[in-house]
Amino acid sequence: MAVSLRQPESNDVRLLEDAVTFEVAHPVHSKLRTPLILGDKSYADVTQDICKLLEPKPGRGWWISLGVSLVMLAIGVIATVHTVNTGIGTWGLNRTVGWGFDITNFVFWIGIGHAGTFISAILFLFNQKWRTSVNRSAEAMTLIAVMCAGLFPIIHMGRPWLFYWVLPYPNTRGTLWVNFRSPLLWDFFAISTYFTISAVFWYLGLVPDLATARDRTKSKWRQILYRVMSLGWNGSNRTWSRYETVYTVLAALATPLVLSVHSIVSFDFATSLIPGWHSTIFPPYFVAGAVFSGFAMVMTLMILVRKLMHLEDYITRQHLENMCKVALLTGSIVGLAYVTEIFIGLYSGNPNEIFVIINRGLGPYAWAYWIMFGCNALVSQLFWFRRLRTSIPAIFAISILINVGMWFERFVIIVTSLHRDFLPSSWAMYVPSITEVGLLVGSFGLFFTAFLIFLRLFPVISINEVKGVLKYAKH
Amino acid sequence: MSLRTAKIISLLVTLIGVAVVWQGSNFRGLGNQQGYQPAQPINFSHKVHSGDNQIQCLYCHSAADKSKVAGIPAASTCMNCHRQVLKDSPEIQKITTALAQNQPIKWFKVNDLPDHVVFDHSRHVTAAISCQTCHGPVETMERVQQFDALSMGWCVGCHRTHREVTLDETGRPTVTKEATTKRLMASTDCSVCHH
Amino acid sequence: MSRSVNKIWQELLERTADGKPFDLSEKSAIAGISRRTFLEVLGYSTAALALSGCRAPEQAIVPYLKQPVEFTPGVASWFASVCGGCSAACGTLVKVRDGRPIKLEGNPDHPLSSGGLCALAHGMVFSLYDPERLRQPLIASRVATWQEIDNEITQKLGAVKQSGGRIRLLTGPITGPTSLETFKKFLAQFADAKHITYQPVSTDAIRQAHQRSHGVNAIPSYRFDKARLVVSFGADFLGTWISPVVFTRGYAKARSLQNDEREMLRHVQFESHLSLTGSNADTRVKVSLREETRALLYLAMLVAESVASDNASGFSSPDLAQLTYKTRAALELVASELTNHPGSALVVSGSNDPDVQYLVNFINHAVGSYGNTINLTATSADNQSSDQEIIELVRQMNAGEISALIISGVNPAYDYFDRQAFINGIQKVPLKISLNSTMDETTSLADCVCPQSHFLEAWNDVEPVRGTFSVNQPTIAPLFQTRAFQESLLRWSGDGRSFYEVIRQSWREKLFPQQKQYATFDEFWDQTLQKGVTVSESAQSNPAVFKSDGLQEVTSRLISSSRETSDDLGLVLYQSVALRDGQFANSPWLQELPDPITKITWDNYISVSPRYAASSGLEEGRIVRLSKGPAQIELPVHIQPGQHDNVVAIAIGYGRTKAGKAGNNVGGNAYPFVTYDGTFRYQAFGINLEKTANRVEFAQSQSKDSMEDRPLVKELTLTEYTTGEGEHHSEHGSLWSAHDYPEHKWGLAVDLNACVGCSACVLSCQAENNVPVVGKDEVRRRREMHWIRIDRYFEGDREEPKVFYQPVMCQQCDNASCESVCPVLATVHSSEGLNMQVYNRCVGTRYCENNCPYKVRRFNWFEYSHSDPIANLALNPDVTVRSRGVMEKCTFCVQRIEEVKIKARNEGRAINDQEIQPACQQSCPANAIIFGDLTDLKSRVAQLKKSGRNYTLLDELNLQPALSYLAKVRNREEVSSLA
Repeated sequence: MAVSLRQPESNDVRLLEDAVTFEVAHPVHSKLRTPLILGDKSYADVTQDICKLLEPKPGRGWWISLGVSLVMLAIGVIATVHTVNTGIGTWGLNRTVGWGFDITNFVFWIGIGHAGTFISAILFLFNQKWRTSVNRSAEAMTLIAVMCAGLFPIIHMGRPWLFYWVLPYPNTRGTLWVNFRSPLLWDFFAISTYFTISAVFWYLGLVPDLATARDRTKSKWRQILYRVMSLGWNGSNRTWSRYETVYTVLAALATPLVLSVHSIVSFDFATSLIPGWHSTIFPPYFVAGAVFSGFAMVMTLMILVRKLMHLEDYITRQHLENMCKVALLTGSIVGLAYVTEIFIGLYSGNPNEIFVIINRGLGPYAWAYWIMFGCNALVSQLFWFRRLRTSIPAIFAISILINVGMWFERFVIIVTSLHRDFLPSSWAMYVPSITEVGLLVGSFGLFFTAFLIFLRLFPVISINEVKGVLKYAKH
Repeated sequence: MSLRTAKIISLLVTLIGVAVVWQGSNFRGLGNQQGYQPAQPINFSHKVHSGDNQIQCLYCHSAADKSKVAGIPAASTCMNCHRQVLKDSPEIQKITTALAQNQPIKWFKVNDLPDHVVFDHSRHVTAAISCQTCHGPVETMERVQQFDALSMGWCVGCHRTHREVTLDETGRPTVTKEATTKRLMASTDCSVCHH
Repeated sequence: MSRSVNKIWQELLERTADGKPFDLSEKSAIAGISRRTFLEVLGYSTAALALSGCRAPEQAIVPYLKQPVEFTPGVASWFASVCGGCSAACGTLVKVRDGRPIKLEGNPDHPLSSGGLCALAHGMVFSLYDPERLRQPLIASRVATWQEIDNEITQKLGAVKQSGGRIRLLTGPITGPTSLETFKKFLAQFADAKHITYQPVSTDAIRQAHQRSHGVNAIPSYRFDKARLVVSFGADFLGTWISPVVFTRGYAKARSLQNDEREMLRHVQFESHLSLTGSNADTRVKVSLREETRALLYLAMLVAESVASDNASGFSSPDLAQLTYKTRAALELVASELTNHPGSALVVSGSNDPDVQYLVNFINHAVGSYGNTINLTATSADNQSSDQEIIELVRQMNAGEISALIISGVNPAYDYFDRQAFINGIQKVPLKISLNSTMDETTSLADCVCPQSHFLEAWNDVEPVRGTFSVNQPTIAPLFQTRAFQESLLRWSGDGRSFYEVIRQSWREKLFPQQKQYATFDEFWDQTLQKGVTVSESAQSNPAVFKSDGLQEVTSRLISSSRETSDDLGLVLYQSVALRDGQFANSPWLQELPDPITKITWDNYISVSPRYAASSGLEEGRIVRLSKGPAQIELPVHIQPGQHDNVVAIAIGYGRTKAGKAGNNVGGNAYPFVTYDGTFRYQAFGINLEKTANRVEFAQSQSKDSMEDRPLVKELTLTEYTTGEGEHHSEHGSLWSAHDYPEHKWGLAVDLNACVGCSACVLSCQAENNVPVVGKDEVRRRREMHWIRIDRYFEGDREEPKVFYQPVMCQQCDNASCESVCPVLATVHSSEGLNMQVYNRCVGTRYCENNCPYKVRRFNWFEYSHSDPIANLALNPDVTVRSRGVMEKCTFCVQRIEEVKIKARNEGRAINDQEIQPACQQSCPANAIIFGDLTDLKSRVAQLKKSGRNYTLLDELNLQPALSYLAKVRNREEVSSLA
């Protein structure tokens, strides 16, 4: 079922037509809107620009970054093996602080994931055309982040080889079921659902582009890969209309997940009785935080991608600026949450709550708290200034800071609440071990390795959707 | 990949899934030794002793009504009879020599529960649960074998059906505490077997 | 594994069609067989592999050859015996499971200890299975048989006999009448022979003082249970002084409010460093070492004046200007209280200065304690020799006047104050025989080593207090080639009998005639063995009279000696509750037991007061060098609230060099600071203290001292209690219906008024529940595994804090926060109100640990070592040994609950109240822990929970714990309730 390349695809045709009529009516570009894609690309250019990224042998830059990521990943693998062989004792945890880096990383990565789904699903439903340039890689990021996240609940177990006991499966123990009251179990379901939906969504969006790639590529194994993966796509009208329908449906399905997943993750803490965890504000606060950190990560990645792969025309300042605005909004929500937490804590009249608030701000982990507060609540406010919103270096720096801040947010929530709880007799400090640091590094290693491979294997920008907005500003 | 292959694959996946869910509970757990029948150092026949000659189980396994363990009879117990009976048979000779050389006999354990399970014979025996309920028709076995799965599900199944406690509307037992102690009240608390 | 696979191969192939075994090694055979058979075999083989894959390696069961009648496999038997940990010889019941002793419990029928045991006693099981015990006799560190060594020694002793040389037998305090006979018999063979007893921590002053004041050279028995007022001058009678278990029992009895008593014993403590006893006092007065003596003098004077006594004249008053106002006020109050408690007061002093003790005797005499709270007829029954004798012995050794020295159960090369002198001396002794059971500092100097059996392996009899006899019966055959030391002496005095026969004979001759109860000796003997103790009605003598002559010189001597001088920084040496004199320092259990006061494990340290630390710029953990003359020690500083500014304190018993793996080089040896002045003195002046550059971090189980103003331990004054103010009742509504408890609802009450914080429960629990030891570094990382811990809080002024103890174990909540969060149902609620922890189901998410507000859950961070085959004999077979990655916690000793339930069910009866006792309750010397069934409203625990003092910890969380606390009551007025 070989389809020759320039056979016009259905939406090409549609757009061609109205484009032509348009040219006649309005010779000049719109004054109102700046185009989403710069440099007057034709459809051919788009296909060309994006597919050509896949075809040549990868450059030195790519190999170096892959090498670095692999080293980080290796560190992570060593740390994991060491942990599983020797025991959780290789970490810095103790009888008072039962969670540390492990769950911090877990919540952090889940949070990162959210931007992808947000962009691809919610912005799609709100018909935000600018999403098209970033949604592909954002979704890829989501998948990878969720993979990184998913590892930690397993590694953090004392007996990880029995993790499958968390599954409700028929067994010979007089069917001994799992505890449906446990937030950890809810996590398990939430995350697996989230991963499946995101994967399907991402893959479906890929199919037309894979077909394009399939038809262009020269290399043998890519031929096979794309052929298998493009599920015999033939750009016919029927295919397209089915595609659009399913895509919309999936978008609708994915949307609630953006809210549900991190709400459920926040239940791990909210449903407990530890002061500093036991708080009704957590679900919205976590979701906002997740989207916030996610967008920060997307910006970090996109800035690198557009620079290194010369996609300035496709990922424009405008895209980044839009994302900055989202970050500004969510960042402010997070900031508000921090302040509310302080207020409620002090207002509650509950000595334990009051103590936790004071201990966070002034206790032994105050440094972590203020890093978190500064990087999230304050730094994000810089996006009020247009100059900073539009300066690539500024955005890059700020997005990194936000990532740091959001990691520390989880650290502060988990450790500062646990290390001094109800009985002063069992108060203790938590100092992470080198193994835990190794795990953190490793998770980033996994993240970048996977992302780099994605960049080489799949169209980094959704060809067909970008074509859809090519004439955006010309209306 | 053609639609046909896709169909076939998805069909297979579904079938396997169904099989697992539907048959899952019957899958044998790891370490299940149902039917295990090791050769013993002495060719001892329960059929002959408890079957044909009607010797009570408790005659040899004398601890079964007093202790957690039923107890394997000491060599001296065998000789109570075999000092006279068949004292020249090669199998009996093994025992006599063992006693003579003060070399205890190493039997192979047939019914072996995991180390994290506590099973108390005395409670079950005094509650008038016959040995055969768990050990099967030992009196017919030439060489003893593990009769049942001895899996947790198997234990719990029985404990569930034998929990004879009825509560009145206030949640108190209808029978007095003194009375309840005389009844079968198989508990399903984890800590009864796991501690 | 492979073996079993092969077996299966055999079995399967025998079943093939033709029935003859089928050899795979022959290719032809495979070629030769039909397709059908081949497939059949293939099927079998795969089946075989599958089976063998999931089969555990074959388990062998080895029955007895001849069934011993007294044992039922799998059922524990109990033997009444006595603890050999110290000379107090408390009554014990030894739990023997399948032939091996696994637990010591208190013997409730024992007239002295009446069911209590101390931490040390629980550690004894470990010392039995200590893999580093000597395993056979040694001649010049060469392995020998008993035959050889007996010949060697008898021949050498023969030589001594000929030459008429000096022979000395050096032992610890021996209370066993039969042992003492044996010694006499042995020593009788020699011209110049003598039995010398030596106690590193001496109480000689009390004996000398009583010799002087009453003509009785012995330690009387102190009856705290009869006292209404106790005044102690630095005596740690609840922790380490003479017979702590017995004293704690009496003390707790006299303070008990468990049966709605309306009054209780009042306890005033004058001391320089915070001791376990001082921390429990109603009024604690902080004094310097010299001030302690002055205070005693002043008190004596006040008492003498108020009690119309002819001795009053004897007093010249101490320099009152040198008593702080606070102390004086306190003393005047105490004096008036003393005179208001004629016959029901008791004054004790921890000093080893005969003059001080004489003064104490005087006060006790003046307020009529003798015959009431002090019993001079039931005195200690050992033939303790005075400190002067070992001094003399060491002199003679160095002078080369000793031709043979036999050492048993003492270790002077470590704990003698001038150890170098002893070591030099012993080298000059031609024949040195050690009967110690380990290759300790002294034994390694001996040329003949005859290791003695552990007291759990040997027969013995003891008479800790005159008239109270116990038999110490063996509960296991000696694990190694060891022999009771009495038996060794019997051999060497040419007596072939076993010590068992000797004991029986001497009992038949001496004790049997004294009693009327039993007709035949065997009956008497068996009964005694069963009860563990017999009290002879003999030994009744009328109380001696007080000799007041010399009162004058004593006081004047004390006045001069207690005058403040320039070098007033004093050093006080004390015993730690866990290690005492250091004899059992090789027990990791004892090493890892947090000190009741400091909560520090695996170390000793120099305690200084907060003000002193501030003034001389010391911080916690700073290593300092303390020296006085030749004696020198380097230890970290611990800043101890409640300690006097002019005093530094160090625990002895640490710094062993030949104790064994666990005990070697833990802390530093402080014995060199002991001085001798007629008796050993455990105080020193004129010490100097210099900082070093180094610091260490203590392995501490609790570092936060304050309660942070949270109502965790509630305290009432006696009046608040009697008037019922400060009573606390809480109501909690609930949306959900309560649990059903058809049969039982187990509950526990901890009486904080009884608990003195002695930590015996911690070790009892450790022994019962196979709780692992984790070591110094892991404790530093806050990963100690104890299922029950004793929280200790200092409240108020750090210079004079109020101290609170609170045992905390799993509270078995009805609304348990741990249960709801476990994803795999590894911790669930039982139908009897317990939080069950199912180890084999746990996957180790540690979520329950995080969500437990009491932080009583313990996680297995590593696979804790159970590698040593001998040490493993101490494990309790009824409790799972938890593996790595699993959460564990207190279960209210569910294995005991199940055992009793099954017993009761089999006998078709209900469970009696107090029939089930968790390990922590069973041997609590203070009866502070009471367990029972809350559905049985008549049960003791149900009754106690009705008390006005009853409250639950963190009540505001509405977790509905099955464990509740009874508020502490202090018998002093100024204290106000924290509640």
